[in-house]
Amino acid sequence: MQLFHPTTIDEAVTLLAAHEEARCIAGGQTLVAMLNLGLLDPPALVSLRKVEGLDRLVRHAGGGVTMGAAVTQAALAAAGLPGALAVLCEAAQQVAHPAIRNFGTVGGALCHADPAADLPPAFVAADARLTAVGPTGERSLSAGDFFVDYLTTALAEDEILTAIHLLPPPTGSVGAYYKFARVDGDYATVSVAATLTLEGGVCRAARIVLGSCAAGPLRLDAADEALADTRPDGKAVARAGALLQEAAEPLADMRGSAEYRRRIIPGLVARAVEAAMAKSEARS
Amino acid sequence: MNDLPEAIGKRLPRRDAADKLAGAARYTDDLARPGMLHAAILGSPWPSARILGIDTAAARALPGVKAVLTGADLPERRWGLFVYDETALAAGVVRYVGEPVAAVAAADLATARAAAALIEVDYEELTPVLSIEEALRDGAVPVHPHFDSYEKRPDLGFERVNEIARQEFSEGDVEAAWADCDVVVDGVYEVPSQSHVYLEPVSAIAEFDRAGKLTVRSANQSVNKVQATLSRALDLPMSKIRATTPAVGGAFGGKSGVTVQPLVAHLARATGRPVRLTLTREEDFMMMRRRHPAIVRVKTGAKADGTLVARDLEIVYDGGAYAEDSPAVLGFGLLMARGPYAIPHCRLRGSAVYTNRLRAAGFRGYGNPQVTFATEAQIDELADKLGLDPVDFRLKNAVTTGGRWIGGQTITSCGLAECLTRARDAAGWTGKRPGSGAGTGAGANGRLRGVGVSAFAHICGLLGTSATVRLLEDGTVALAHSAVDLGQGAEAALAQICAGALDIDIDRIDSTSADSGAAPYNWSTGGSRVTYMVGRAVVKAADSVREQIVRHAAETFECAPGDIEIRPGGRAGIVGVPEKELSFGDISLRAHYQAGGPIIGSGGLVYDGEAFDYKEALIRNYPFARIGTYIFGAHVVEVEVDTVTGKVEILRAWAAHDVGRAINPTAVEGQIQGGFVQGAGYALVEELLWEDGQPINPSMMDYKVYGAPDLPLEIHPIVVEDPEPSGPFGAKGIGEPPLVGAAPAIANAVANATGLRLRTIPMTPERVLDALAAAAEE
Repeated sequence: MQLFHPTTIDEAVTLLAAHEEARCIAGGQTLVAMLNLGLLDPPALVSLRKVEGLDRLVRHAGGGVTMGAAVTQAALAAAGLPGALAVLCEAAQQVAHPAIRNFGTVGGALCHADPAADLPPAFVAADARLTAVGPTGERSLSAGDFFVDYLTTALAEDEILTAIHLLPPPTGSVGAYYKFARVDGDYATVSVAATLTLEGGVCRAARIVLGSCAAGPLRLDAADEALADTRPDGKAVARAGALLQEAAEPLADMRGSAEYRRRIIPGLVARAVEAAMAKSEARS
Repeated sequence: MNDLPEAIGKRLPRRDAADKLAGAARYTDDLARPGMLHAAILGSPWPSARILGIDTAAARALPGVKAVLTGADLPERRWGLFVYDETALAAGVVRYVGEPVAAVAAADLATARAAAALIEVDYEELTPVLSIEEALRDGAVPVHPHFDSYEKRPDLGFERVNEIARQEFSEGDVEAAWADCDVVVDGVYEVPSQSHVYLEPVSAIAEFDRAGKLTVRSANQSVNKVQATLSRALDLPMSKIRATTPAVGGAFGGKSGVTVQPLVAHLARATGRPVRLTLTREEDFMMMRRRHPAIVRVKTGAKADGTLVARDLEIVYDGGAYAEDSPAVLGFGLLMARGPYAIPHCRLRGSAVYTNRLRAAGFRGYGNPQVTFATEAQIDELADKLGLDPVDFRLKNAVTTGGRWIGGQTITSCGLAECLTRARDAAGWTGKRPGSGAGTGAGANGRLRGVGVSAFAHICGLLGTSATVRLLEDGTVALAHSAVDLGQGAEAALAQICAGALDIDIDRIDSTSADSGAAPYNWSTGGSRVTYMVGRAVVKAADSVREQIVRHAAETFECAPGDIEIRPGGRAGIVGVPEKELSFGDISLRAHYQAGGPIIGSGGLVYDGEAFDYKEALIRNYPFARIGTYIFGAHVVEVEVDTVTGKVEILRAWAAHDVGRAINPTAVEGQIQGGFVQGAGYALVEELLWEDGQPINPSMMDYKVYGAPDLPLEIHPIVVEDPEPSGPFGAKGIGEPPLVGAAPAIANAVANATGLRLRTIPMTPERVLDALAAAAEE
């Protein structure tokens, strides 16, 4: 297996295109484990660790954020992002264990597209935009469009995720990530990423995204609309939870049966919304 | 015992701690030998199959491969602890998924693994036996068709096909006694297969020297068992085998028999080179050992005033594909099945059966956690029906010093009542227990809170052990024994006992342990026995050294030995004459260079307590006549049950244990906390699972154990000291009991919180939520 250390994105893209079935490696927290298990045997690895600027998290005036794909999960966890973007930090804080977060990158976690992972639903809830670079240039796509299927993203084989952009969070917005797992550090049995924009206790917009409940992050327009223009109390939240529960198609694995996962969705949605609301109340 | 020596009861730091914290401790896999080869194993893909043929040509042809072995290459020599049913590689048939079928030794690990993957095995699948029910059903397929022909310890009592052993402990007249009961509770309890999950997977290095002597360095719990089993497996006299022990990363019973040592020794013999094999975590999960899952039927009756009258218990343990320790695990479970209560009428019966799953074996608690989960849950169910406080109910029936255990043995020390009352009082029990099992537990946010208790016993003792103590020329001491420090602190505790017995500072003691060529025999590091049994041997050896020191001093001062006293700090002098004294160094120099010869003391014993009383009790087929002295504990646990997810969270726990005497209280507390955590995992999260005989969670990604963030900081160890007359400075064991009491106390707390009795563990969120939903529908 060949290992390359490009220092620019252009160089990395060229290397990736030149070696069929080559893979990018950043923190290696999933890829190396898969190599060790013999699940993957790529002919070449293109390391992104020396690519200039890829590990930078930039806060723009006005509250927007751009982070390079190689920002570590630990760095995001400690970033203290404002408003709705707090959902990203909370999700990053709950990825696996500290040693893994210190190496594991945001881009790596998104590109692996494990439906049970913590970051994908959070980035969909934060309505992030992702930049991908390939031989023909750069394109931008929404987090919602990025996750296509189980372990599958919209990236072409010769594209690299380079950056994630977040618009300034609206005034009054809050975010929370509620994860339910068997033990600390496990993948989620079910997780809920929630962002709400509140105006005097009334929810103007909501994005509720489930992890571990479908082939990718699960978000429903109808569920989000059920919360819009309500004081997100028991009834509206229960309605959103029920809609998501109905749409969920969770897998069965060691963490729980599909039926069990479906059953706990409404209660966990309520907890995520409650956690987000509590922040709004704490602020005012 | 107010005038205890300085070293006893001292919170001394462990001598291995600095190396372990720095990553400098050397485990077997850290070691290499010149010219060493690396080994890999090919395991069976089927739970039951006949091996029709094995093609090793491609593996042998791979450059770097030095040997490929299959069962056909090995001598037909079986071994085991009670039934000689095991071989290093499958002989003709495979009996569980993962069973080693072939092994490779090669110049490097990648080559060994690649070669193992090239071995082609032609199997004829056979009908597997995948559960206790399937094992015992009429017309069941035998897992071992030639069981009758195996060499075994006599009188294991098996009656049916697939029964490894059948045993009974009974007293009184159970059938007649039900008429005397005002309340009777009946239930069936199921307990899972727990994996040992020691941090260090099994590992061994074997090499032969030119004279044909075999040296095996391995993670183990007994160099003496390793040596004896290798002697049988390789047809070598024990004098041609040396077994030693590098640092060991936990064992919990999983390394108590031989593991991969015979296989690695065969590879070393075949290649003439040192060979190392370390299992991957997945291989270790699939090829090694586990706790016996079991089905327990229990019926217990009491009078209205809370007096326990009768118990009928039947347990079946799933022993898996090989018998290993099953006969002893079964019998010990039955011996614990009356619980620490004076129940006059008991019928306690059970069996262990073969199935086509991984072998089950000794595991911290040794048959006791299975039984005690069931019986202690049932004690709470009875208390509920009687309207009695669960602690009061237990105290009313608790055994005491001078009382009898089932089987007739006298209880020589018993701090059970003190454990119960101290755990209760520390927990603030009365204020925390608003109702009994009526779902009255208060909590917030969809969470129900409850508190539960358990009381339990165990033994320490078992079989033989020995130690030697030598006085070095400068008066410091060389202690040798074969207790393995598995991480529990055995080395430090025994050094403290030696320092106590000689009344010197522990820094003046050097230890050599667990090396069959350099330290004397010890049956095993297990059974909560090291402090009590090896400790007694150390005291005996040290006493012999004291006698010799006194004799030398008396000769030097030309006085009677009775006029000599041993003084703290390593001196001997004339009683009442402070200035007349010699240091141990003075005496040792005299012994080495002038008269008498170097001072060496040895001590050995086989457990020598009271035997079972076969006239008072019906005891069928239990393989031991006496096994140990009794130790006691009580746990109180406070939990919250999340009604949204069904998850049980432990908020706080109080674990009181009667250890006779805490030689090193810090180490005792560590054992209590560690055992409780492993028991909490058993109660709530740990379970090895199979589908169609295939293990479905043999990895640490799928099989979860609790880590520090999952459990409260408040696991309060409460050390109760009721000195045991036969123990070293009154000490008894502590290794296993902290695990035993956790699951029932947690289940009783869940019942208190929710009003629901879960009779199956682990109480996973899904099981708890199912129970809550079922109750809501009623």
